[in-house]
Amino acid sequence: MTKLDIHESWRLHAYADNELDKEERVKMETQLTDDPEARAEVEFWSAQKRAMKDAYDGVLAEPVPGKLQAALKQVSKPAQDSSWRASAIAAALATLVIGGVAGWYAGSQQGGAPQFTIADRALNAHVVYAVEKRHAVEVAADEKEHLQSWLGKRIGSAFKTPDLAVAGFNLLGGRLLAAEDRPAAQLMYEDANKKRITIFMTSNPSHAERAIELASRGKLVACYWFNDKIGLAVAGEITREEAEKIAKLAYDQMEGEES
Amino acid sequence: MDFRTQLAGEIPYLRRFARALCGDGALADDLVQDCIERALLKGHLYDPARPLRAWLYAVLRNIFISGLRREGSHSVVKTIDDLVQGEDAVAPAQEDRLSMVQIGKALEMLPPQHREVIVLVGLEEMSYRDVAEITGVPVGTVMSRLSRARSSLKQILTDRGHTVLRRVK
Repeated sequence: MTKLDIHESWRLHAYADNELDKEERVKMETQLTDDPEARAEVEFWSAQKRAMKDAYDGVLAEPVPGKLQAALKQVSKPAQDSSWRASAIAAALATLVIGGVAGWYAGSQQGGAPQFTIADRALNAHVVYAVEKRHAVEVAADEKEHLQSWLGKRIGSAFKTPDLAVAGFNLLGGRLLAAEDRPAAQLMYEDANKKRITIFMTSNPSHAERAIELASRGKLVACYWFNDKIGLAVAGEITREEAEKIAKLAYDQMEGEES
Repeated sequence: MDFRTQLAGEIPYLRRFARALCGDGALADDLVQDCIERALLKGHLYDPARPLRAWLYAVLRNIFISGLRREGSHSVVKTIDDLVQGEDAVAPAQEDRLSMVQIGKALEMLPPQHREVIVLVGLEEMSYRDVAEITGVPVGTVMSRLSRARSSLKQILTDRGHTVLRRVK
């Protein structure tokens, strides 16, 4: 039987960490009976584990410091807390807030023009364009890179076109739209049953971030959020659960983890 | 159980992980505090189908690693000589306690990417797959980091005359 090279053998580590399946484990145990050096190595690793546990397990029994309990409670404050962070958290935690059309104005708050929420705009644009058979999009998915850089430039913020394939939706393409006097963008996706959803994006002049929220109008649902540059909304004739799922999918890809 | 209640239950584990990662108790709790705040802010990104602890560990280690990048404060190179010198002052009778101090000091000497892997596997008993997800690297990388961390640790702990670890049994 060949001896294990104890410095290279990942199998030995996997054995020590209980990562091998039963068959592999039995094989390794047989091999180890002939290999005292490898056995000693495994024993040394478990001694390392025990030493770490001896050193740090005591922390588990310590009372949780007050400042950590406070950090945990901070969010139980009502959503009108002055900190936008706290309200964003509260909104995110209370599953999804069902917002009416009068919820949040993404547009300029001045002037006499009618005010639309981002949910309104997204749903209006969806209703108009999602039914288009031949001219649903201006730039098709096969020119995704171009579509993305063009629309990103127009709305003033580069974005990543999310892949919604796990939800069954594939990118058809996108188009440039107007949100009153500002450019807006629409990405359109379609599933195997030809059902379409759209993602609407326009700049966020207030730069205030908002967690994901939900608005509905009849059978239409929009799930929207704001980062510091743009507001985004997933729109379609879908259930709230679907809208939430797709929005989270898009959110994860488009916002990412910053660290 | 709501997210916050679950999060509360994980705090002791977050504290243990943080303590082993950064060595210093006060710093560790700052890290946990940041982690709690971040977790509450990003709670909607957590997939309940996955273990909460692994998700929280990922949040915590990301804050830790980005903190290191920002400050560069932990790039101070410690050598085995530093360790041995500090140890000489300790009387032999204290060796049993020494093993605890010792492992902490030895961990501190590992590069953060090796330290987090050996702590997650050895102390937190996370699977290689969970560790890969937490640290954002492939499982193969986890295994090679683990292997290197273990042999460095062995070298640090044995190349000093007395072999503390063997006595822990």
